[in-house]
Amino acid sequence: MKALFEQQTSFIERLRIILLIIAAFFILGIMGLYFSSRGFLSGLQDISRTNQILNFTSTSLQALSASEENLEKLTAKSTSQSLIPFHEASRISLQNIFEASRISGHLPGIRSKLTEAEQAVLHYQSAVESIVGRNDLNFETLRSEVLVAKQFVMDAEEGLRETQILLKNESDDIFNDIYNNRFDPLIVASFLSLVFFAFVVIVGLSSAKRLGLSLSNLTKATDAVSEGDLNYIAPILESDEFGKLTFEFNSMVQSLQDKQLKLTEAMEKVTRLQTITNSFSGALLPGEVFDVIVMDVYKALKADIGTLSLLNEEGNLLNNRLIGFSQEHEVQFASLSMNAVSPMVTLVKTGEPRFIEDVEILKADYPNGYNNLMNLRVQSTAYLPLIVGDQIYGGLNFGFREKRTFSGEDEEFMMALTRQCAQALHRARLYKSATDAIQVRDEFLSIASHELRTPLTPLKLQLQNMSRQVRKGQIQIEKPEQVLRVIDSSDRQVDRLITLIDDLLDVSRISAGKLSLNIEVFDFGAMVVDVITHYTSQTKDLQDLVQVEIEKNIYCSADRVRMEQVVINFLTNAVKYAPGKPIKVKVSRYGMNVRLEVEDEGEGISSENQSRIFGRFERVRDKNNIGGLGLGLYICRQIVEAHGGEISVKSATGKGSTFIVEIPAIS
Amino acid sequence: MPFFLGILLLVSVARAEGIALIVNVQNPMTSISRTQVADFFLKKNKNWPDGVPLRFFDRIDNSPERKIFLRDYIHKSSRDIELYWIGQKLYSGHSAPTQITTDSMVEIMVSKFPGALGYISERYELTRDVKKIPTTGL
Repeated sequence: MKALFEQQTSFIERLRIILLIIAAFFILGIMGLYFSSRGFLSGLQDISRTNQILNFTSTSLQALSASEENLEKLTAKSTSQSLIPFHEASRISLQNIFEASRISGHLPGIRSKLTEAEQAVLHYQSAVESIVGRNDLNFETLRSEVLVAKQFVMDAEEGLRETQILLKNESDDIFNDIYNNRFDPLIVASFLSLVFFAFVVIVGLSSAKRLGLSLSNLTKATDAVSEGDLNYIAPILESDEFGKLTFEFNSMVQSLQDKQLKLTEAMEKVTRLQTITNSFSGALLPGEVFDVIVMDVYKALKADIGTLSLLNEEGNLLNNRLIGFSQEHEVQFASLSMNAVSPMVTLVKTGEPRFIEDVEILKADYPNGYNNLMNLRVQSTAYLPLIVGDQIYGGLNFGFREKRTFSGEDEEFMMALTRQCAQALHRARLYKSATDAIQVRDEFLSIASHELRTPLTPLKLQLQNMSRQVRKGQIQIEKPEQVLRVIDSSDRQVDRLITLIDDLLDVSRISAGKLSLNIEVFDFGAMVVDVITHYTSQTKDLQDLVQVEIEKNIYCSADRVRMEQVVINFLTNAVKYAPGKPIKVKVSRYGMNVRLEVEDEGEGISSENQSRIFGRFERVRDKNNIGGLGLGLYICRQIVEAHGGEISVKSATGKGSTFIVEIPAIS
Repeated sequence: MPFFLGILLLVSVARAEGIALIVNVQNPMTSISRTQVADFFLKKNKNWPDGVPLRFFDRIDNSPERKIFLRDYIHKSSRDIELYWIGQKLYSGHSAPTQITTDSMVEIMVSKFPGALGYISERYELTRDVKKIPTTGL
């Protein structure tokens, strides 16, 4: 579930935007206050300017009224008054009007009024100039001229007063304006504060809530995980840094969970391996080992079916033990020839393990094997060799009905299990051969003690009988042949004992590797003739039974005594196992070798016994309890092999036996 | 009845000792309404209909012509007019028209200003560039 997380928003970005908005609010607030109070400032400026204009017009009016008073005096007293005061008054008046006009740029009505007043003053001045200082005027003319001048001064005064009234109205308007809008900055400030407050409350609360939720979400997740709940998946609430953090946390927990799962699996595998090791340690016999393999190994691997193939001793056949197969299949696949085309055969031949995740790849090389696996609905399979040291015992096959992949760990686990199986099989085989050897030894001991005892009993009987007869006086010196017979018999028994003990000594010498040979060159055929002559002389009937066909003058370099021992052994065996039957002895040159054949007409030796009889302590076991330690042929074989020769037997049940020895001859 | 008789008597006195309105000869007007005269006197209108600035010449207080003028044209007492001009000085900046003592001086002043308007005793004989202007209305 490796989903990807894409961060779409950013908490930090959001905080930055909020800060920017707050800054914008401040700027907006300052601008709002500035614009809402700017009217006041310009209004105040206008009022102060109108006040200045008022002052100027007042000064101008004062100058004019002073001048008017002077004018009244003209008619009252004399006309010879100086023009200077009039000029001065006009100058002051005009200057003030000019100043007022200069600063009344923004008030056109006032400016035009001032211009009218200025014109009137100029008219007044010229009217005054026309009468002051003139003595030639009669009273009526003077009076009328004064009245004209007064008309002009009145015009100027009216213009100035109108200006003043306009200014007052103007400044009243401005003041009213200021007064009416006096709450503007407060309203703007209050409104902005309110909006700002609402913004802070809404954005702040929602941010805090989201932050809180994200944090408590994470806290809950860490609590759950610390309490061991690795399946807990924290919900991703936001697509910002917290979402990212939550996602990373989940991924971490997930990987932790995966690791734990792997650890558990590994521990499980170790436990299974240990269980199997324990089971194997209790399984000593091959059958028990098979049971462990069937019961535990396949279970441990969770395999659905499997085959345990063991190579037979001849190495040409695989005996199969099948697990999870139907009975029909068990019969069908009970064994497999090593010549067959099969992955198992290849495995046993090469010893190379093979892990097959998809059985399809077997289709080309092993069509039969593929078909069998398809019939068994196997999807994945593994072939593993049972090898100990250099020895291959066979192979194991695990079949899985679900398609699966084999990781390195899986493969190693399977190999380890297979090694365990192989070693268990190896141990079981060793155990079996050891117990077999012990059995053979025990059997030999009982036979040896019996054989050693056999001559002693008649010897003891004869001696006791002899002693009794001597005591009774039955044995007389005059009958020495009777005594001799007893002594001969006892001597034979002692000889037999000596032979047995010599055999035992030979065996122990051979086991210790101390068989020494006194090599000499002799005529093999002559040696055999000598032995037969000597041997048959001891037994009367034997002379007629032994037929010889001996080629002489075949020399060999060997230990003559030991070779005689071999010939005697063959003859003894022939007499022992085929009493009263003819014995053929043949010596001939056979290639580079001299060949000795001793043929009897006994019951023969079965093929399975043929391989055993040259072994230590081995005898042909049969119903006729024939004595002997079973060491003779073993000693013969050791002697012949010490000479670089070969010993063998040709026989069939009921058709007699032929023992053959070949040793190198001197050409 | 005696009240009506009294009024009739007064009207007849005024007619007997009447006043005449005079304007500069350049003035194109042929007649003037009493309402216009009142407006001109009170400086509610400062220009003739043709745009020439108006200049009213009053007579000194207590002169019979003024009494008749106030009675016939303005319908206000001399005291009311005085108060009116005090108020006007403050509210519109206008000052009272120049008060002149004699008929002849009125004639001189009216002849000097093209937009002038004045009143004189009806008996006075005009010698300068002025003309009487008849009034209409009551």
